[in-house]
Amino acid sequence: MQDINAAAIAENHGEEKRLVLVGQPNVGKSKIFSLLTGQYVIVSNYPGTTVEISSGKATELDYHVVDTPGIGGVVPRSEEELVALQTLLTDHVAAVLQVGDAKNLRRTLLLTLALVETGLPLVLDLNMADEAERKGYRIDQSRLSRSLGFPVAMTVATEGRGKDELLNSLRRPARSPIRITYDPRVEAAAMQIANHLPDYRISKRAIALTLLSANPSLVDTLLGGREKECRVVKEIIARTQSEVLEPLQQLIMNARTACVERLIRECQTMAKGPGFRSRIAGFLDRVSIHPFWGAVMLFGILFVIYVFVGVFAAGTVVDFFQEVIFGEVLLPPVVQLVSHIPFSVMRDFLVGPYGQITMGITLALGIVLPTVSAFFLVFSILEDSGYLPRLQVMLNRIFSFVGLNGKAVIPIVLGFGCGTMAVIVTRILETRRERIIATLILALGIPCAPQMGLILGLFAKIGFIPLVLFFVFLTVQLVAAGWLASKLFPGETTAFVTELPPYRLPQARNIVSKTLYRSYWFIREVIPWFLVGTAMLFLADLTGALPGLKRLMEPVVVGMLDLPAKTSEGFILGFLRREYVAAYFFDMYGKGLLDNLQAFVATMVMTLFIPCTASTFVIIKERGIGVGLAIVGFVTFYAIVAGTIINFALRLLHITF
Amino acid sequence: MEETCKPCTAEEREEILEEIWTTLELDRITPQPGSRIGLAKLGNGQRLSPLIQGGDIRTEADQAVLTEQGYQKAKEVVRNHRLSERLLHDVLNLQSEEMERSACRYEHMLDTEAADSICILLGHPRTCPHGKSIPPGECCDAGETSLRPLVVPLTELDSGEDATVAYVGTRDNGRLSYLTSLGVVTGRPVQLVQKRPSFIVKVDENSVAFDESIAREIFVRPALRRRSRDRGGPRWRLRWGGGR
Repeated sequence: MQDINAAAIAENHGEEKRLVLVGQPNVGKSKIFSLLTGQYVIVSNYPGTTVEISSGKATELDYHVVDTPGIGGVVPRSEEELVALQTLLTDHVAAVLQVGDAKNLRRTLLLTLALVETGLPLVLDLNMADEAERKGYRIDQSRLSRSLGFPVAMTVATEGRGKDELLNSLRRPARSPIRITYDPRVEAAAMQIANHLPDYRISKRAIALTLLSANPSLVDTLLGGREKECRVVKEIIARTQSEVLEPLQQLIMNARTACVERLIRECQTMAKGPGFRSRIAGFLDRVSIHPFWGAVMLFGILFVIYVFVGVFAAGTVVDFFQEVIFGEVLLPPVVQLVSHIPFSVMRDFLVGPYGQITMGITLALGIVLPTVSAFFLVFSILEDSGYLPRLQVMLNRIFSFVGLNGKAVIPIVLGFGCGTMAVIVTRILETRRERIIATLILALGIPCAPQMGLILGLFAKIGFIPLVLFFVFLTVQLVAAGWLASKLFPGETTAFVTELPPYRLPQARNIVSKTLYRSYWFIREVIPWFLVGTAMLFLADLTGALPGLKRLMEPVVVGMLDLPAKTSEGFILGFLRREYVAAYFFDMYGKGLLDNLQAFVATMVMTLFIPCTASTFVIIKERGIGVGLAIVGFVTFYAIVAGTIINFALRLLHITF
Repeated sequence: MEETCKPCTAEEREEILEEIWTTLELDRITPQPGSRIGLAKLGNGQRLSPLIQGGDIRTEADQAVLTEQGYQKAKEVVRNHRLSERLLHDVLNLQSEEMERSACRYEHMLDTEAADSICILLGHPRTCPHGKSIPPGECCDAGETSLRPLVVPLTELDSGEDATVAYVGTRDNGRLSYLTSLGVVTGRPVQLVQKRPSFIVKVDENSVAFDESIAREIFVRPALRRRSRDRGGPRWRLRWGGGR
């Protein structure tokens, strides 16, 4: 309600005209958004990259542009799919730009007809026109535009092709004259429902039709708080449904499909000859989802990541940064300069053992940044290639064992980039149960990019077999924890459906800008924490609290985990940022303060240990304070227990690597 | 037990005709128009009068003679009954008592077309579960050449097989709308690419992946009846080149 009022005020003042981008998943809405606003947003080749609204001022138009997450069907299946619908319902929308896949006209137009019902001024953009062309589709744009009654543009957003045409179209959005007549029983029910709906900004008929198509729970979501209306509307839906055999949605869709088929007959032709299709893409497609070769390919990819991130970035590059750039070029003159400062406390604060520069900055920029950038780079390539949806296919069965389905692969894999981000992306999951289990797994043991990079770097020094063992241990624990959680929260595992986008050759420009964007975001986000953490250690050391704290943690750290007392400092830092602990241990190992077994145990505990403050906050925000704190508490307790058991077991078996 | 149904008034005539048919079979006589049966075997003569009046049988001395009309009727009822048994037994997996009870009701309800559909569906069975022969219908004579396509869940297709969507049998509206949007709708051609580790189907320009629980909800008409017995197991060799 507040939103509606706010929008009304905005309208009165004539402040901003909102242009809302809607469309099916993975059609390039975000790329179009970037094109219109000049703002950078992350774009990838898998459905579900965008889970939140982003908005910005259009550079060449008098619009405020709003980007929404993709909608699979006309009926929302998860929180993130609901976002687009709610935006249309409550925002003051001046026009809607539907972005569609040009080679998939049937699917695009099915959504168009649902949007036509809203009565909002529309523009249709058929994106990825190059792919449609290669496949041999010819679309008669002007004819389609005449039939629909509003402008139709064609673009290749990744190359900026068709931008002018799109801008022109956006200057003259129009309401469509198309009015579809549905089955008389549907029409009657829609009319009755419309009478019970409060005022919205779009046609009540459109909302009524959506409610008739959806599961009853949508009525509660949209009419939340209006008990009487909820009940009446549900009654109308149930009564109408009892009069017909097929689902009501089917009746609605039949009418729309008939209209779509007519439009397609009029406006789309298939050019002669077989459409172009890359042989490599076809082959890769079959390999990557093959029950056996797909697994081989997955391990191949993991190995390449290990070599590139672990051996090359965290090894060669980090050594170079630490020894040459920091050790020889940067630090000596700085230390020289600082030595002129008369106060020893000040000197120590900057370049002492817990110095801002010698510890905070060096760890952040010298160790973490090169590693994390390398990881972001390979990650971006994976994202843009279209491999991630295939990974869902491969891992669906394993995930179903822990009460999730293939869809959860996306948030979990994103967790290897950043846990904070990943917890937000759990919104694409359909049930609360799945979101809780996915969050638990993320919090418990998915190392984020910097951590992962440093783990790979550390094990590149310890050995490959311990690395494999480490991930086997970790996976077993995650599967066990997930399995237990799925028993703890009983409920059905939702069925898995997803679409597989075609393989695309990642564009160098997009890869570079995505990697730079993420690295930049990382520096901005992380450096302050590194400085604060270092300052805390410095203060604790100065006031003598550090030895006390260490003594407090000694029974656990030294007694149970057999680690040197100094590792406690690492765990204290772990409460701030996970990568800080990782960098700290990496550094300690490099200085010979940890032996191989200790490094193994320390890394395991750190990986299982609570996530950083940022993701803890996000977990609490997304899952609620009760569940959030329960997850964090469990994870902390579990990390210590598991670390102890592994430590004793390995020592008992005399495995020291 | 067998095929003796308690006659209910409306269907009494059909029941008696059925009884005549089975009695003839017991005597190892193949029922035909003009087949004769001793009246003594049919018990109370009173109940035969509606049949005589209706022209299904006539009496000659102490025997009842089946007319052409009566023969056709009897044949249909028996065919309905035994086909129903097959259906209930083989497809719906009912136990014999339940099967019997339902078959006794179905035999009166099925028309020729419905019976033929069941017959095709079951592949023109020749005997009922008790081993008695099922009178063939018109569909059986034409059967070898003009089998109508069968509707099967997607799980029954082989990898690489083409089919047309018959219907999507889900009551979850979110899922239905997503599948509709992806083009998995009645009448649309689809190709099953593989079954493991997940089902993958090509529709238009979309590749759709889903798990078995959804594959079981999608019913299709296979384009050609398969010959090979490749049950969708992994094919180790990978073809090089474009996908279609």
